[in-house]
Order: sequence, then structure tokens, then C-alpha cells
Amino acid sequence: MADQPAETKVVSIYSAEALLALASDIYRAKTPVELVDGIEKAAQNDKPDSVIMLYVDVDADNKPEAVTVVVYKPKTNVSVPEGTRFLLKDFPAANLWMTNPDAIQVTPDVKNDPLLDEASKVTRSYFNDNAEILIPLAMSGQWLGVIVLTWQQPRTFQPEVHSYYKAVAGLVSGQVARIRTEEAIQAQVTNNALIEDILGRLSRASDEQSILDSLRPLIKKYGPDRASLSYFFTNDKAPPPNEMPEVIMTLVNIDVDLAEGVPSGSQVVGIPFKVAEYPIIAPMMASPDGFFALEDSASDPRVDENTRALLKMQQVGAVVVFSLYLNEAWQGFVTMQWAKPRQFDESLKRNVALIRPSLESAVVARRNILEAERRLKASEAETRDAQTRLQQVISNSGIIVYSYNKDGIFTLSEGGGLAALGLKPGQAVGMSAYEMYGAFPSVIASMQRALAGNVDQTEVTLGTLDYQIIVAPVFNVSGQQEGATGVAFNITERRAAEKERDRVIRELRETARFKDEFLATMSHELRTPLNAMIGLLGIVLMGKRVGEPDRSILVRARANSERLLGLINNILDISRMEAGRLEIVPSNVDIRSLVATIERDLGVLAEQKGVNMHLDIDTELPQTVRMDEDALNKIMVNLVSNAVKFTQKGYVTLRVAKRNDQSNDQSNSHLNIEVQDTGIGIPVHQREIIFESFRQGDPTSTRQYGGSGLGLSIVRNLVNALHGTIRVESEVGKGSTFIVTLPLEAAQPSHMLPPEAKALIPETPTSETPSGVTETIAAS
Amino acid sequence: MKNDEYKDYEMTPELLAGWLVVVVDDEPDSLFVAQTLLEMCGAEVHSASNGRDGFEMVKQVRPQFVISDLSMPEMSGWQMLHAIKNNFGTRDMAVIALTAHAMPGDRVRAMEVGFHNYLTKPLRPETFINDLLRLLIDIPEIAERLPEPRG
Repeated sequence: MADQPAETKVVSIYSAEALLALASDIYRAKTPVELVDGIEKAAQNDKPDSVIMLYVDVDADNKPEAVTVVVYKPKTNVSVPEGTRFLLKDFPAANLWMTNPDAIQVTPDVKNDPLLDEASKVTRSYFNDNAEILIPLAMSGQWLGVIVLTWQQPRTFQPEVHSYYKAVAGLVSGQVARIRTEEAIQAQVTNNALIEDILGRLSRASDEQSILDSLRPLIKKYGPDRASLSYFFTNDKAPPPNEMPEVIMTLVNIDVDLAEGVPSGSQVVGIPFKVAEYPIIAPMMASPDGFFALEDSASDPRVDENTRALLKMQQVGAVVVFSLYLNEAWQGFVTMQWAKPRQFDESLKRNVALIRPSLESAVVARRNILEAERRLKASEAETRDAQTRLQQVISNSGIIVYSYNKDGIFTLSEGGGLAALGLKPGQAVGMSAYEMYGAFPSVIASMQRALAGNVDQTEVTLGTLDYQIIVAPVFNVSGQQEGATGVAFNITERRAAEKERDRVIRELRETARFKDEFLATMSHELRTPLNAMIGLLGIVLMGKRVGEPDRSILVRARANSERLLGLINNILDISRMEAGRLEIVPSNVDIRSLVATIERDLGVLAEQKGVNMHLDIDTELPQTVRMDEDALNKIMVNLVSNAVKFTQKGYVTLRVAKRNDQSNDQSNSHLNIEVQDTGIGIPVHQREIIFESFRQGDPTSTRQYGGSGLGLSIVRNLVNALHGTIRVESEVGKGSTFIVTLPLEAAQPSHMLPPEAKALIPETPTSETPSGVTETIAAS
Repeated sequence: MKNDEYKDYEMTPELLAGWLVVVVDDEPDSLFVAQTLLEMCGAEVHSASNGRDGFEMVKQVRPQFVISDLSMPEMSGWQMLHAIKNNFGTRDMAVIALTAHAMPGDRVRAMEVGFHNYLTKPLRPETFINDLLRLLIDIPEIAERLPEPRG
């Protein structure tokens, strides 16, 4: 061998065997983790500190839009959590290395790389990423993902690095495509199952809680901390079509997993809020599909200051609301809240769109039921109110309302009027009307008439109470009589008032009749002496006749004129008394002289009839007594002339005496006047009537005995005016005695009075001086 | 009044000469007046002071006519009239009621029960006899006993 220098063969760390091994690993790999394990093995000669696999999502132009961390090995305290998704627009620097799906990008020294900007370098240094290789995974130019290998220290790569890792990319891409497709299909299947589950639950949902519970699979998938179902209201009902609602009321909540510190009352159930007071409703209602998602309440520009503050206070980091709108009317909305901000992909919106129609139908069906229930309750309340009012009317009034069945058993007994019968409302129910009212045939008869199918109106008396009953038969739907219902009114007072009224009418009629009788009698009485006067005087004037001398005729005429005068005076007296215009004028009265005059005048009359007249004047009687002379005179005259009138034979006695009370006190003494006769007597039942004006005991006696019936009435009026008493003792056929007592004042000695008082005393015929000397002044 | 023209009967002692009259009244003065006036015309007057006595008297005397008050003790004028009318022998007797009852309807009532006519008290002594005869003139037996009245 020649002296050939030995060639230093650079052995590549990238071997075909490694690729082969990777290939078989990859074909066996079912999951991204297994893929990453294979890749790690293939890169073991380079010994990367971390291997990261990301899925790449592209937009409609196949430009990378977002990346999702699928595997991050190893997990360290700075590693990004698996599943984290970045939008590339938030990482402008990433656009540099996401441009070519075919090129492997190798960065041996991050810090000194001329192509990276500062921000990127800072980011990478955070991750201890000082050298990296970026391996795009693509199929037919379509981005699928990217593998990132990072080293904490800058390193030098062998020149085969590009081709080696290109081969790796080629091997991995296919599998990644398959895995991603399977994953997508699986996700779709799962989502379909989820939707089916939700729709199934919704079809069975019967109330708000179960409607919201139907969304639990959705909630489980997207993990909000709370979900709520709220309804819109206008005037307590579903808002009318095409009108903005006024009020929101949250009906149910689901608190999925109360994160620590999240206030539990952040959405209050059952309390109405105005739409304007509820944040985020406006944006929801404004967006065309009724879906509004807030990924970060603190930083989203669509949210105003106040709303941001409110959401912060309620510790709502992210929120989704979507509306329920059916029949052109806003029905309600569903809210999902997350305490921490999060990202939403299209799947939530799509899923919402899929379940929404069923949700809306379920809600509308439910609201219709609620509305029907509300109306029913309202009408029930109205009916109850009406019943209560009716009940109050019945209870507070004095009426009784009652019902009984065909057997006469009470089925209803209500009303304030029951108290008067000693019953409580309802007490009589179940009891037999025949038993309770058997003693009142009119009640039973009314009941029987009603049970025979008649409307009956009748009046009954139960003890001291009068009732008017109106009863009507009650028929069932088949037309058969079930019983009867009645109302009873207590008409006792009315009855009593009617009786009183009738009594008053009777009395008035009687009085009118008496007055008519009186008038007729008076007319007769006045005409009789007039007839005598006119006739007798006419006879004298005519001159020639036989019989009595003129003088005696004239005497008879004169007597008749006195009789007429007496009658007229009686009439005037009684009118004055009845009009209340009687005056008592006391004076010093000479009783004896008065009595003597009576004896003289009436004695003639008595003698004519053949009746004896006696006087019995007490010797103890003082010379004068203080009394109204006219009244005293009339009392005695009327009593005596009555006695004479009603006595055919026998005697009439006038007794006058003074009686002292037991104390023998001069100031408490009485004048006692008695008139006794042997006349026809007065039956017991007439002893009161005779004192009434216009009445004699027996109306026919006017015809027999003459007189007007006024005399005793005048006497009694006068006795009363003098504060005295009058009574009668009598025996029919034997006679009567009238007894009058009149209280006496002591006769005033007029000279003891002061001159002014003396002047007030009316002129008197006699006066008495203490010394007992009597001065008689022109006694008539 | 039956006569068409009003004519007076003059009170002369011959006017009622031979006539028998019964007067019934419980008031002595009224009785006296009626009796005196009739006697001034020549009548023979029998008087009674109650209905019972009056009835007996009528049966006994058989007067040309009767004058009677209505309200009297024992038997009233009404009752007496009833008795007179129900007595066969006196049923055609003319009875004139002379009474102080002057209420409306009294006259009609009296004539309905059978009084021939009705005069009210107080009577006028100057015209009493004339008024009386005017009421009786419709009875033939009385009319034929009377002279022609003064025209």
C-alpha cells in the first residue's frame, strides 16, 4: 500500500436505519403522542431538549390561521399546556416560519439569528429555546401541522439535517393526516351523539329546569361554570310579535362547578330586570344570528366600560349568550358563563344552531302552558274574589242562604241571618229540615212545594221572628230535581213597622170617626136648645095661644139659652185644652160661695128630674183656698151636672173637705171633692173611656141622657193642670162616686206681700188677713 | 113640594080643627113648642116623651099624622117608626121626623126607612105649620081635608 493517508470518514448521525425505524414506528402510531415518541427516537442523535407537535388550521386560502399544541414533551414549568390554541394573527412573527410547508427551517442560534425579531427572540428565550428546527407537516401542499425541536444551547447541525428531517416530515405527515381525519370524524360522531342526546332530552322536557338540564351535554363539553335560562316578558306575558320586550326574568340556573370566589347570586332567579339593565343582551339582540360570545370580558372592545365593570364584579371572564326567537317574537335566551377568559371555536356556534330550533319549540310550548296556567289562576282568583265578596255579602247581611236535597237534608246553610236562629254557618248541613222545622207547618209546606218543582215565595213566623222565604228548585244536568235553594229575609222589623203603621192608621181613623160623631152630636146638642129658644120666643111673639102665661114661657127660653151657653163654653174649653192653651190663674177662692151658686143653678135641674141634691161642706174648710177659681168651678159643675144627668131617681151629693197629709203640715194639704149619685153606674170597661173627649161610655147614651161627652174630659184636663188626681168608684145600677183631690197652697195673705208683688195679684172677690177678719168685696 | 107654586097655609084656629096629631119628643120644651103651634091651629094634640109611649098612643088615637123626634130614651124615633110600619093597622101612618140631627144623609136615610118626610130643628115657629102641611099634602086624605092655600 502506498503511503496513502487514511480518509477521515465523517459518519452522519442521520442514518437510513433511523428512518426505517421511524417509518415502522409511525405506521404503528395511533396517537400524536406515539408519533412524537417515534420522532424523538428518530432525532435522538441530535438530542433535542423538547419536541413539540402542533396542529395547524388553515383558512379558506390554505394560509395557516391557528396552531394548537398537541404534544409538548417534556412537560416543564414553562411548557405550554397541550390543547392551547393560538391564532397566528396574534403572533405576527410566526408568519415568517409558517410560509413554506415544504421547507425545514433550522435555527442553530436563536439569539444571533438575523431573521428573528426581538420579540420572537424574547419569547424563545423564555422557553429556553436557543436553537430550533421547525418541521412543517403537509400533504399535497395542505398544512397539517408542524413539529418543533428545541435545544437550550445553540448547536451546529450537520449538513444533512435538512434532508433528514424532510424525510421525517414526509413520513409523519401522512400519519398525521390520517390521525387528524380520524379525530375529526370521531369528533363529529361525538358531536352528533351529543346533539341527539340534547334533542331527545328537549323533546321530553316539561318545565324550565328540565329544558335547561337538556343542555347538560353541551355544558359538559364546553365547561361553563354556570348556565341559565331566561325569559323575556312584556306585561307578564310573552312579548308580542315584532316588539322589543321590556323585562327579563331568569327562571333557572345550573351552577356547574362553582369556582372559588364566584359569587353564587350573580344571576338572581325569579326577579325581573329591565332589558336595558342587563349587560350583553343588546349585543346579542343586535347580532344577526342572535349569538354573542365574549372570550375575554376585560379586553373585548365590543363591551362598554360599565358592562366591563359589571362583568368583572360578577367574575365573569367569558360569556356566551344566544337568543330564543320564535313566531317573530323574542322568547328568551340562554347564558353560559366562564369565570376565566377562554377561546371559542366554531363548534359551539354550530352546535347552538343545531339545537336552537328544538330549544325554541320547547320554550314556546312551555310558555304557552305557563300562559294558560296564568290565565287559569287569574280567573280562579277572580272567581275566588267573587265568591269571597258574595260570601261577605251573605255573612254580613242579615239574610240566610240555604239549600237542601230531595230528602230535605240541608246541604248549605250560610248567612249572617243564621245568628238570629241560633245557628252557625254550616251548622245545619247534614241535618233534616223536617226535624228542625217540623213544628212550623208553613216552613214544611214551603219546602214541599219547592221539592215538587215550584218556585215558592211565602212568609213564615219562627217564634218571635218573621221571615220571607223565596225558594227555587235545583236541577242537575239531566234535568232531574236535586233539591232546592232558598233565601230567607228577616222581615220582623218591617212587619212590626207595618203593624205599627196599621195601628196608627186605625187610631187615626177611629179618632176621625169620633170627631165625626162628636160633630154630629154637637150639632144635635146645639140645635136642641136653639129649637126651644126660637120656638118659645116665636110663640110669645105670635101672641094668641092657649095655655101657659108668657112669663113662664120666657123663663123656659132663658133656661135653654143658658144651656146653650154652657155647651158653647164646654166646646171652647175643650178646644183650648186640646190646643194646650189652658192657663191656670190662682186666686183666693171662696169655696162656700162657689158651692152655693152651684147648688142654686143645678138644683133647679135636679128638682125637675125629681132628684135630690145634697151638699156636704166640711166645717174645717177654710174660708178661702188658693186655686184657679174658674177651674175649680168647672170641675164641680161638670161633675154635679153629669151626676144629675145620669140619675133618674135618688140623690146627688157634693162633698168638699180639706185633708192634711200625715205630717199635718199646712203646706201639704189637699182639697177633696166628691160627687156621689144613685144613677145608672159605669161598667168597669168604660171607666177610662168616659174621660176621653167626645166619648160617653156608651155612644147610645148620648141619645138617652143628652150631653156631649165633653164634661168629664174637661174635668180631667183641669184636674191634671192643677196637679191633682181624679178617680171613680161605681156599681152598675147603684150609682157612681167621682173623687177629685187637688193640692193646696196656703192662701196668700196679700197684705204680707211687698207692694210690687201685691200689684201682680189679680183682682179677687175676697181676701184674708192674718187676724181672721174677712172682708167681703162685692161677692156676686 | 108637590105644588108648582108656593102658597101659604094661614095659621087659623080652623085650619086643623078636628085633626088628631101625635107629637113625640123627649125634650119637654121642644114638645111644648110643637104642641102649642098645632093647637094654635085647632088640632087636638096628644104627646109622648118616648117611642114606646108614642107607639101606644098612635095605635090608640089613630091621628092624621105623627111628628116625632129621633133620639129618645127607651125607644128611639127609628124604632117607633119600625113598630108603626110593622103594625098592620098603622102601617100607612104618615110620620114626619122632626129632629136636631142635621148631618148630610140624615134626611135621605130617614126617608129610606119610611119616614114620610123630615124637618130639622130649630124650626121656625112662623112657618112650621106651613112647612109641615107642604110635606103632607101629597097624601090625599090629608089634602082633601085642607082648604085651598092662600095664593
